[in-house]
Amino acid sequence: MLRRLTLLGLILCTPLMVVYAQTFKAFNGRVFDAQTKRGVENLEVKLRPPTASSAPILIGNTDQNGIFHFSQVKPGRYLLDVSQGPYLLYRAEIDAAQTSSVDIPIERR
Amino acid sequence: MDTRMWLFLMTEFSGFAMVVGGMWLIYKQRIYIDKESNQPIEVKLPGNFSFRSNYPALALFALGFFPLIYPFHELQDLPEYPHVVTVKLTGVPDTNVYPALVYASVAPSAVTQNGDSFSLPVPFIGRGDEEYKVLLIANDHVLDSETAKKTGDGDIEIKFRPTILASPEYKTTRAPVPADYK
Repeated sequence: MLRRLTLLGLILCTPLMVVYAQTFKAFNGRVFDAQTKRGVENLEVKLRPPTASSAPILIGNTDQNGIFHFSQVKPGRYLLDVSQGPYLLYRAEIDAAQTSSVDIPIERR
Repeated sequence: MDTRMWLFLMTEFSGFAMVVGGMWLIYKQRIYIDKESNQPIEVKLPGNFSFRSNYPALALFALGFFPLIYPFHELQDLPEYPHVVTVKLTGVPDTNVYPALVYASVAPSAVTQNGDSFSLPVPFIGRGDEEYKVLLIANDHVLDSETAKKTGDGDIEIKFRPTILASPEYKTTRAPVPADYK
């Protein structure tokens, strides 16, 4: 009886897990020097959803290899900003439903 | 109806009553010269205006013109009066960064290059003793903040502290924010 209930519970939970997996997905990227190909650390990366969207704004930083990672991104369009303090280095629109990774080359002055 | 319109109407009605009442009193000769002093009445008006009359009713009639005309004069400038409606901005921020401050801005003024000035008309309501917190923001980063308090009727000069940032190592972009994200 207990095994049947456990099995039934698992069957019932499966759609919820599928829905959760569809609700959030990981999104990551790398910001690197266009000439040297080396990652640029300590840059602010912001994923901003459209105003009409209920998705949250996500903010992160690049690590020593220039890599940033967002683990819970609602699929949809975002404005991806890369900044160094008040300076905006990169801005592009991405679709987190279509892509889960992005490479961002930035050029030295 | 606006409270000011009620005041204007009441003033208008008072003036009308004084003028019509004065005319009626003059017509009916219900008011006479003071028999004891036998002096005419002297009426002094603002601006060193004065007149003498044997008929106090004439004074009533003349004085009634001020409240009668004043509302018409003021109503010409009525659009200049700000119609202030206080609406509270409320909400519950959903973030994991605290403490956070919530600011409300109506009209940001963009400064695009060195030497550019900014000019922001802002309302001071009531006694005008409130303070504005004026922020200098670049790419969502607050570079400096100053307070602005009304001290007279002139403009308020905001003196931000010099903000010298190290030049970025990498090329910057001025890509605009798409309309969907504003």
